[in-house]
Amino acid sequence: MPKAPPCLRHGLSTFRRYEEASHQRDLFPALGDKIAMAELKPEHGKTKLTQGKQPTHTTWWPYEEVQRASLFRCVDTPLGSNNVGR
Amino acid sequence: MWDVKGTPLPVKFENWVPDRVLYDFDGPRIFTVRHELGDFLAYVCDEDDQIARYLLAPTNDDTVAALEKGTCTMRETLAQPWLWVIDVGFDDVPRQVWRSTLEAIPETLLPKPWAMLWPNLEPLLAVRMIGPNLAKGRIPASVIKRAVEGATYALKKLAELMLSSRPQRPEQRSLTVRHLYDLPTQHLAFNSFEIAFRAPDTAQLRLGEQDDVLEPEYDEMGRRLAEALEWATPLASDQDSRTIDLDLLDALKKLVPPQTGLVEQVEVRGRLLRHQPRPAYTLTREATRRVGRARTQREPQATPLTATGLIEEFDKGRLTFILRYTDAGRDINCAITDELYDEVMELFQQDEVRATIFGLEIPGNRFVEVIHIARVLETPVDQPVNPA
Repeated sequence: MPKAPPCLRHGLSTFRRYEEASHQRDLFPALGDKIAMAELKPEHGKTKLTQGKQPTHTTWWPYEEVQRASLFRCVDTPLGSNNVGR
Repeated sequence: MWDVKGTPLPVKFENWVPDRVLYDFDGPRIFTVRHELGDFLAYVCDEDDQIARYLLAPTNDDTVAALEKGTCTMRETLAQPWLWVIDVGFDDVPRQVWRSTLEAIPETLLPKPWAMLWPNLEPLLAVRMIGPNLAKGRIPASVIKRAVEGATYALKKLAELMLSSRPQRPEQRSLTVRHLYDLPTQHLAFNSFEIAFRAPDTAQLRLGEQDDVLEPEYDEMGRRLAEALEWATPLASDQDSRTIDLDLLDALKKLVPPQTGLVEQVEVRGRLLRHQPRPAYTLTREATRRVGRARTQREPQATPLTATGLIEEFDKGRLTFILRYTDAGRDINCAITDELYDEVMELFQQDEVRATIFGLEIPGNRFVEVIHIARVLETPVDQPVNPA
């Protein structure tokens, strides 16, 4: 994405609703079949709603020392999911 | 990266840029391209650390509009007679172009057959009748009828249940059961046979301009639908001792596949189930047997009833009326199905015409379920019937 805003290029895309992540999994199977969930707190970095047609698309700029993978666990149902990353 | 099945083209495809970005996630993933070689819809089907691989299908404004309205799926939009596969470097420079077809692309890299462009376009409820012999051009009308009836009957029962259990908000006074089950058809597909319904236009229902005004109602209907589907499709680890509400059992009875015939499974999914444990449920013939056993054991014994009287107080939303001045000596509360609507409406509008109902009286149900209705031929006493 050479022409994308540099700030967005350094963020990680997440969704806040399971159904949006699930929809994207169906739309782009190449991205993988797992959906992982985390509860992000202020100490994990900065987030901002960056939605277009995806109402809860959120960009996450994690702090450098944050172990990102350890925050997430795979989920296979929408129950209790909030802040869902892919 | 996988080998492309197609013909390499000596096309540079320079100066290609997204015209309208339709889906963005870590960069544009679905967008239109206007180019001197034609108009295309681009879809990122795969990527590695060197290139992104796009499918470019020829398109036009009508096709893109249908995609944006949710009347066709992403895959249908890509299913053109030919498409290009293009490898593009992260400098946005195309490296190779192939002419190919959708059938030549690995299934695992294509959008799922039901996936819409945006999550809000996902149908409220989609019912798919599955069977090995159900294919485009070979779908009997009875299968289509079953899909429509199974979905609408279940929605009607769920809507009745929901509306009876919660007070209607003042702004929803114009809302009737019919608005919640007689939904606009969003989409038909032949994979095996699928029909999808979307939520009605809230402005047309005089509920305001806001699209999500009925979301609490849909969520409640979805919760009850999932409760019924969970019961009908127990996992191996589940205890088999759960019971189900009779109303939910009723909602399932036309949704499950028949014990014989072309339809072997029924898949149910849609936005109605968005907060539920599973986003989709597959009802097999085992579910049909389970529903049948439970109905035999638990449904109260119905008594046939025939009565003649005048149709009054026809509630067109709830599809109920009161049969008055009957030969049974009492007023009878009646409930009908959609098929009898026109007949009842006509009799309701003709004040003097008496009707005979044939129905079932079910203990605990204050409405007689009317199965058939016939008008009574009134013969004035001074005009004998012409034997001819």
